[in-house]
Amino acid sequence: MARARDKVSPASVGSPTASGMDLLPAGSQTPTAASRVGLLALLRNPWILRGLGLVFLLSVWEAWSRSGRVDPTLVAGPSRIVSRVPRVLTHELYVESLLSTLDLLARGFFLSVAIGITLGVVVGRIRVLDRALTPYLNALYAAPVPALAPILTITIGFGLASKLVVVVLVAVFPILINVQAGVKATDEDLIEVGRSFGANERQIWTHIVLPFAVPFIGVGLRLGVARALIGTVVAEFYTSPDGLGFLILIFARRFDTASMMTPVLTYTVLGLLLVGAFTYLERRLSTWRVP
Amino acid sequence: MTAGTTQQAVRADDPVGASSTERRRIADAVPPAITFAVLTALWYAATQFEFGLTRIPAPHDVAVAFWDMTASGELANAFWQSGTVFLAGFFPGVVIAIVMGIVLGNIRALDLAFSPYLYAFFSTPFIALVPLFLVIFGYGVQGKIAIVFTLVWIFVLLQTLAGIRNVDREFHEIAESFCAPWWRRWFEVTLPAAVPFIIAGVRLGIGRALVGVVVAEFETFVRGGFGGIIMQRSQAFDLAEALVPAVVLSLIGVGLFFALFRLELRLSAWKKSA
Repeated sequence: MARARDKVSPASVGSPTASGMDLLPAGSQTPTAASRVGLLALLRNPWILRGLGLVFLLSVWEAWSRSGRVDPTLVAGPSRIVSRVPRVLTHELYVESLLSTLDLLARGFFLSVAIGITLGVVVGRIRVLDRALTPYLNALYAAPVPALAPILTITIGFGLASKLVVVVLVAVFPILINVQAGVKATDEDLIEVGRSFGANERQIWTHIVLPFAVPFIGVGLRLGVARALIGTVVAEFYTSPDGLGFLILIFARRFDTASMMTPVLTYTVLGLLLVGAFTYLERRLSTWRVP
Repeated sequence: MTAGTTQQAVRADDPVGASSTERRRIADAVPPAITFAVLTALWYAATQFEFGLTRIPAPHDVAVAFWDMTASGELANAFWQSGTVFLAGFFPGVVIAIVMGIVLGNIRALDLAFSPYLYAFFSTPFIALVPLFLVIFGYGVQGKIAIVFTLVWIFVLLQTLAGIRNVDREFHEIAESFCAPWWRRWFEVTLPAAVPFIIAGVRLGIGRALVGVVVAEFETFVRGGFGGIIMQRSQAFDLAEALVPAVVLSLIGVGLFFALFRLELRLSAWKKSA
């Protein structure tokens, strides 16, 4: 690798947190022999690279859809998808579907958080319950929820209840596991100090255990919200059709793959926004982390 | 290795400590056993009520249905159908994802160019794309395999990338100060650090692939396969039989999850817990 020859600041070389999302620090653009060559410097800029990547992907997609190899009515290129966006957004069902999805997502997520934190804290603290429940919780976590969805719908009913059960089954486990880990990880010394100052159980909870668990709750929430969105989609497809999922199914039955992408992209945007927001929240909560 | 036992004082009549270990093991097994009994009781109680369109089948009905379906060979058929789809999608998905992950992980320009879009694709709930895949690849076996493949591929790819990026900078610096050639750095620094991530990715990928098989079978409505049975029996309100593949799948999922967890621990043994 050419890194040894680059005169860039140490922080940017093979940084452990280097993801596609990091910008190279401004200082790396100092005029060295290598980077004074304009084109090479341009190609090193991550934003330009991302733009090129996007252009490349979209062009390949468009070319593939227009080539003779696939049925053009079935495979829609980016141009056709984008042209359909305004029509779908103003479709009479779109806003209604979006609101329905958001409603289910919000209810399911809050329910998952409530159950996850409560159970996590209880199971983390009371060892007997930990031993009693953990094998079954692990089994439920590993079970493929979509396989259970039709059965749940028929036994619980076609209303909101079965949908909520599906969302909670998918979303609760990251929260529960992380909260449990956080509670278990509470430094025993801290609890001992609390007891020697005469704290009762409730005070140990509120002053020691819960604050210690806060960063773990942050991680759990971030993972949980992503799973909650997945659970919402599963519920919308495989319990009674509703929300954006229903819209997708309508377009799918008509083989209208171009319009289908708009609700799908809505899901993507939702997912990215929510995970981004909760990543920020997690980072803020981690300032409480005991080093 | 006896995991989970603490040091006990040596007793004269029991120097090996065998009896107290035994007692501890039995004591550990009691709470889950109690839970099992409670859950079974609750299940039987729930069969008395009708929440939705029909009653929940009792455990013994499910057991009878399981027996019938095994005897008639239907379960074995379904296992074969779902299994071949699973394998045909899973292994190519994993292999191609690891190879692409290695390529992307080593060529920073490609990584920067494409990672955001890979991540965006990953953030899209895949179930929403299933109808699209079926329309493009057909409602038959190809469609199902395409779905499983893509589900596994994107996940393992991102995990591989994460693993390669995760190498501590210090190791790279040490390798460089010892003038290690690129292939040595690769085999002795990057790869061992990335392997736990990759194994974790493969393990979790199995779960995703199982979901993919079931979901693909829901949509394609081909009668075979676990998903097909679940869908068909559910619509016929024959819940005892519908539960059989669901339970079997869950058990397979749990079993694979833990088996690979062990494997992952073994392969990560070189890593000190830090």
